[in-house]
Amino acid sequence: MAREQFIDNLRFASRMLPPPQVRSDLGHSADEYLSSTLRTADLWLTPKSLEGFDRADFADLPKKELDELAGSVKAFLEIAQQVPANKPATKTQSKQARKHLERVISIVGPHLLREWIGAQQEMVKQATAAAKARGWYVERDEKEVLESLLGTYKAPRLRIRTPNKEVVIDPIARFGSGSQGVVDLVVMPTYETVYLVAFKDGHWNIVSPRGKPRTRPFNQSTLLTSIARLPRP
Amino acid sequence: MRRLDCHDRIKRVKGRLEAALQTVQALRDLGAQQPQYLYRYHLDLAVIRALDTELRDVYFVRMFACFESSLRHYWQAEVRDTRPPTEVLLSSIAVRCGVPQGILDAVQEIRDFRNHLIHEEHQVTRRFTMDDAMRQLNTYLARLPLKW
Repeated sequence: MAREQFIDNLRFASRMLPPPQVRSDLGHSADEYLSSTLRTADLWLTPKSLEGFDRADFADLPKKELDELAGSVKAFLEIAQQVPANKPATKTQSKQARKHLERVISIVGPHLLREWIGAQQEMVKQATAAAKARGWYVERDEKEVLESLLGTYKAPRLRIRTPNKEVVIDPIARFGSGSQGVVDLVVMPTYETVYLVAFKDGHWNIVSPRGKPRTRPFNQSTLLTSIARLPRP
Repeated sequence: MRRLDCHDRIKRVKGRLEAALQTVQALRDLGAQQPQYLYRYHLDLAVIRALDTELRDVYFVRMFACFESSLRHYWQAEVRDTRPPTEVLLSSIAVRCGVPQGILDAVQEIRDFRNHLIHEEHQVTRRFTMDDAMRQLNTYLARLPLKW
């Protein structure tokens, strides 16, 4: 859980890094003033941004990258701890801390994305095998997704046609609510989400989002049962 | 263009509406607990409460715009490079793609409701929630080819 906590803190900090742009009805100079005030506040420059980091959680990274990650986290925290709570950071502190935070993001982001895409590829492979075993039509393509920390990426999307139904396994987000990755199972033609396929702690589950939440582990058999239970269009 | 991306764009509008409604809810809670924030920005709770309905209307119009732009893209790519009025566009594509009459009727009513939201004096026969409309628009869209 500490790992997810750290990732969530980092994701939150990454959202605050780009210079804020204020647009109000008060005119250009007021907008500039407000933007600059927010920019110098460096809301991301706090130990909270990297709270929960544990080197062991990223042990699968190459050693060089892992060392660099741990070093950047340490350097960032040292600066963040020096910044008084009631005063803005100095320009040097802000510049250096930003550099370290950006490095952490550039290591953790792609690492998480590889994991997330890998997990989805595996789930889609299982779904494809299950559908093909039933003789159903399967078509795979990719969908573009934009998320904080991960940027824009392409995730696998699957369309399955049974003799009387059609569903789409539609990737939504690595960062869904409840610290889980979310892929929707949508039913055609209405494109309504009938199940969530949720990824948490390395496992996929099929979750019924309506009424009393029901969770079943995702496997070929539970996927086929879930599709079979859908009403005919 | 891929049809699944068109469905997805409609779904995203609904997702953004939900995020906006949650933001308003958070502001409302904050305003109730610490009214000084509202005074500072010359806001009052009644105005914030009214935002809820306004946001639903605005996002309804956006959702329809997404749907319409997909249809226009299809029309220009597959039929001809013209810009028919929306009512005609809906009927013409429905004929071409075999959209059931009941779905076409519902989508025309949604268009009418969208017009009512934009031009307030316009009267409507039927009102739609975002979910109702989304189901009908997607059902219509599902009659288009997968790619064009």
